[in-house]
Amino acid sequence: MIILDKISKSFGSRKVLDDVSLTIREGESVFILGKSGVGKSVLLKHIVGLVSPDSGTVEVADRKVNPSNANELALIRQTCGLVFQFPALLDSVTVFENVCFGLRARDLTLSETEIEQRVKEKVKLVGLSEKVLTKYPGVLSFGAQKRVSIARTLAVAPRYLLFDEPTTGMDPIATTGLNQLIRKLTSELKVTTVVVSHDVKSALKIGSRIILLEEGKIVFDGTPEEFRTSKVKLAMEFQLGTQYEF
Amino acid sequence: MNFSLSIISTFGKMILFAWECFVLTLEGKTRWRHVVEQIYQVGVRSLGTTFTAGIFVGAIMALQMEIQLKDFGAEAFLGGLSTSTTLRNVGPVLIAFLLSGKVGAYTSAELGTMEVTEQLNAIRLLGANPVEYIILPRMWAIIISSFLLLIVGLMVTILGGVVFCEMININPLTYIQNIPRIVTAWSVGQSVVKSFLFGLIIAVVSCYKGYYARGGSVGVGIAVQSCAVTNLMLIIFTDFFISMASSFMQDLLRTGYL
Repeated sequence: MIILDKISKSFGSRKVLDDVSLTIREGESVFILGKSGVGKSVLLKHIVGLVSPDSGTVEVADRKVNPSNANELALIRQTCGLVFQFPALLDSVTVFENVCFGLRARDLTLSETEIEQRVKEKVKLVGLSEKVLTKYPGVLSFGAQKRVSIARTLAVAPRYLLFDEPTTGMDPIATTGLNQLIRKLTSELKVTTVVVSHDVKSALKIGSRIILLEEGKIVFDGTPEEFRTSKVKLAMEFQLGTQYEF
Repeated sequence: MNFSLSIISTFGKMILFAWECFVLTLEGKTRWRHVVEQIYQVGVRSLGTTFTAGIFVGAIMALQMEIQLKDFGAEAFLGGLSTSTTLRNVGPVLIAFLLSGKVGAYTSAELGTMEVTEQLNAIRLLGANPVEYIILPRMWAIIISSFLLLIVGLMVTILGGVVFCEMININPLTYIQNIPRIVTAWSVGQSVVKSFLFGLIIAVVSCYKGYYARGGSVGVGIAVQSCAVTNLMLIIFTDFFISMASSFMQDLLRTGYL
């Protein structure tokens, strides 16, 4: 379970999160929607301890993220995987080295054959061919880099999988593939997914819960069905945006 | 006042950063295979530039000295005086400036880009310490290769002086034979100490500025600029203080206090 209790965070004079409380239960597929700059990504970074709140507490899998020392944080991060908005791949090493980075860093006592097997399995899972393994990230398209980034996160088998704008820069086919992957992870592997996105269609299709953030506060929290009939202005705006998109 | 405090604070943070790297090294966390790779990246690729700079620094010093010494009919001392000045001061400083521009800018830009594109955060989340994985190999590679490049560069400056002598019809043999008369072990030692310290400064400043770059491409630009300025200032200050200390100690030796 992920628990955020009365989280507030400011950058300079700008308050990004204002007393946000949120509980994400095991197996949920939560979509956090909101306009740009409302603190969605900052919220995700609080969960993995990349950002510390000014006030409030964050708890992941019964462990406090803040305050915590380096060892505790490492244990928490072993349960979480975050796919960044931009691929964040290491440019100087091959795709293979990128995907197996976490496996080697966490010293899971896997043999080289097991590592290779797991890397190939994850690359296949995100819809890439094994040919990319010997390539450097720089020669791949943005969409392919993003998939490698997802494969890298999946390789360490996280219990909580967090996505920051996963479909940004991806074509519609890749977006559908990613949505199917998120659904599969939640239903088959029982992974808890938290997706920060602008993509209402995906949220309605595969999310089990939708959260709307506006001006640092949660203004809606409910199921996709409740979202469709919601009278919250921002929820209606988001739906209108999808209805009238070209 | 705020500006002074900010400088002191940054300097303190840089020392703590270097200390963290030192402790990690003592704990055996340095990946030496990566250090060798980085030595190739930052060191071997700078050899040509250092060699060229060394030749010209040596030649320029010989040229300037020759103009002055000619007035006193003391050209015979050209080799010794020119080499001594180059080794003790001008050579290490100029080559360190060059390396801070090439190696320092490259490293701070590379690390800064890794930070602003969240590569370092990705490493943290995958369970690794970016200082251990990314910074340590680069820092050691810069320390080792800068030191070696400075030594090579200084040796090449002597060659530069010899080449210049050939050009102005001074016997190169006379030039070389005169070197040991003025260049002492003390001068060589001073040059070695400076080379090591300049390498250390370039390594720590470049890695620190890149690692703490924030705010997108503008942040990387600021980090590289700040890295260049800090490197140059620290090299100049260190050069001054080492020269002062060296002169003071030489005086003590001469007067028999040491």
